[in-house]
Amino acid sequence: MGILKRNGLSANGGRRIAIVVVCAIVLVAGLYFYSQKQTGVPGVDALTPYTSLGILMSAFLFFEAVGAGSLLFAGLTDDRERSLALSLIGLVGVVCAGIAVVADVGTPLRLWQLWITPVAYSPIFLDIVFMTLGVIFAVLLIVGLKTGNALLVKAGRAACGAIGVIMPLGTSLIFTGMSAALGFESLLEIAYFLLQSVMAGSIVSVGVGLVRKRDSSRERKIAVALLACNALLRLSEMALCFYRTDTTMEATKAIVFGQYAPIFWITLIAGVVVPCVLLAARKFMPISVFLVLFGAFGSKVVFILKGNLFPYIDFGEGVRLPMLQPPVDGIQAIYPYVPTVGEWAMVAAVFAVAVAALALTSSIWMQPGKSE
Amino acid sequence: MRYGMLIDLTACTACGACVMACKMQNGTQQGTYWCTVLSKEVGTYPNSSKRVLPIGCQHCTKAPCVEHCPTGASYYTGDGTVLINSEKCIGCRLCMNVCPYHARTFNEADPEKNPYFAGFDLTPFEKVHAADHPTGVVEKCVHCYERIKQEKEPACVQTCITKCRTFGDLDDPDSEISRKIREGNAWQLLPEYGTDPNFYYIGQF
Repeated sequence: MGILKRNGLSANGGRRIAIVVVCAIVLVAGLYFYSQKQTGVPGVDALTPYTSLGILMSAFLFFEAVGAGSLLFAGLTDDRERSLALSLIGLVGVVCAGIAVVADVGTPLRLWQLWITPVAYSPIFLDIVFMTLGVIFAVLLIVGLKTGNALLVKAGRAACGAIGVIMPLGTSLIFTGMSAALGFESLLEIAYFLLQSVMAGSIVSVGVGLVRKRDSSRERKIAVALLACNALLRLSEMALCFYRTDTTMEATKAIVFGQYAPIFWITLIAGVVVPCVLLAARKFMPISVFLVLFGAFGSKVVFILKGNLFPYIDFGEGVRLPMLQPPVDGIQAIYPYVPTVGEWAMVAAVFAVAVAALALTSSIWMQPGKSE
Repeated sequence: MRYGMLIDLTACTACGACVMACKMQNGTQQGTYWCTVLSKEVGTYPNSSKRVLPIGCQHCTKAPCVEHCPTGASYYTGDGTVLINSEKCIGCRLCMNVCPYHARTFNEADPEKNPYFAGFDLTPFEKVHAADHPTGVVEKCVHCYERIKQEKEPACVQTCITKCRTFGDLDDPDSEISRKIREGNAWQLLPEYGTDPNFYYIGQF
C-alpha cells in the first residue's frame, strides 16, 4: 500500500486498475488473433495481393503521428510538467507504432536485421533510424526532467523537437516512394504527414493541459489553425477531382465519392471540422480532443485505403482480373477492404498497450524533479 | 548472360496453360498466381475484340522491389533474374506495393492449413511443395530458376501450345529472343516507371 500511495495510485487506483484490467483483456484477445496469424491460419486478416496494407498500418501511422507530434511539442514547450507528460506520451506513441508494425509484418523474429544488417538505400531504413532516435531522445528528456539535469533537458528538448519533425517526413517518403500505388503518389501526402503529426501533437498538448488544468490557449490556437489547414487541403483535393480527369485522380475520387466515401466524410466532418469549430469556440474541449484523435486515425485509414485502390488502372479501362470485381463503370476495382475481427482485435490490442502504459505511468511520470 | 522473356500477344490465345504449368511446377498456394493472364475487351460491337496479356514478375533491371527491400531479401542474381531469399524476408510487403506489375504475393496461410480442397487433406503433390512456400514471406515468379540452371526452359515457356513465349539470353544479339525483339518491335510494360524489365511483348494490348 505504501508503494501505491507514493505513486499516487491510492486516489485513482481503482479506476486505474480497472483500465489496466480492461486493457489486459483486449490485449489477450489481440494476442490470440496474432498467434493465429503467425501460425498461418487462413483468413485472420482481409489482406490480398491487391490490398496488401490494412488497418494495422493505419494504426502504425496514427501512433507515429501522435508520438512524433508529442515529441515536437515536448521539445518546444518551456513548461517542464507539460514537457515531461508529452515526452512520455511521445515515447508511448513511437513504441506503439513499432508494436503495430511488429503485428503487421509476416516474420517479426527477423526484424533484428533492420538494425544489425540494414539496407541503407531502402526508405524503411529512414524510419528505423528516426524511430529509434525518437525513443532514445524521449528517454533522455524524461530522464533529464526527472533527475533535474539541465544539460540533459536542454539537449533532450532540442533533439525531441527535431526528431518530431523528421520522423513523419521519413515515413511519408516510404509511402510516396511507392510509385506503383497511385493513391500515394501525390507529394501533397508529405505535407499531410507533417501537418497531421503537428496537429496530433498540439491536440495531445491541449489534452495534457486539460488534465493538468493548465492554460493551453497557445496549443489550442495552433490546433485550430492546423485543423483548418487540414480541412482546406482536403477540400482542395476534392475540388481537384472536378478539374482533373486523368487516371491518377481515380483513387482520390473513389475515396471522396466512391465506396469509401462515408469513411472520408465522417473523418473530415467529425474528426476535423467539428472539433475545429468546438476548439475555436472553447466548447466541449475534452470531446474535441477525442474527436481530433479519432479524425487522425480515420485520416490514416483513408490514406491506406487510397493506396490500395485501382492498382491496374494503368493497363487501361476494362482490364479483367480473376480476383477483382468485374468492371461496372469501365474501371475494374478491388473488392472493398473490410477489416476482419482479427485485424480489429490486433489494432485494439495496440491501443490497449498505449492506454495501459499511460495509465500505469501517469502518476509516476507526471511529477518532474524539483530542480532543473 | 541476361535471361529474358518475350511474349507474342498476337499468338497468345489466353488458354491458361502457362498458368497451370506454373502452378504444377512450383506448387503455389490457393489464390497465388506467379503467372496469370489479363484480358480486356476493346471497341464496340460489331468492331470489338478481346486482348490478352500474360503477366508475371518482369525481372526488372532496375527493380523497385530490390531497391526498396529493407533487408536485402529481394536481390538480383546477375543473370537477369530477381529472386527472394525467404530466410531474409520479414514480410513487410513493401515490395508488393512498389511493384507496378503487382507480381508478388504474400504467403499468409500455412500451406498445411490451407489445402486446395477445403475439408480434405493435402494431396501428395501439395505435401511435396508445402515446404517451398514458408508462411509470412513474399514470393513471386523465379523464372523456374532450378530449371534454367539445368538449361531447361521455364515451365510456362515449355508448355505454351502456341509457342508465343520465347526465353533466352538478351545479351546475345544472335539469340532467338534478341532477334525477335528487334524484328517484332517489342515493347516493355509500363516503361514510365523506369524499371527496364527483362520481359518483352510483341503485339497490342
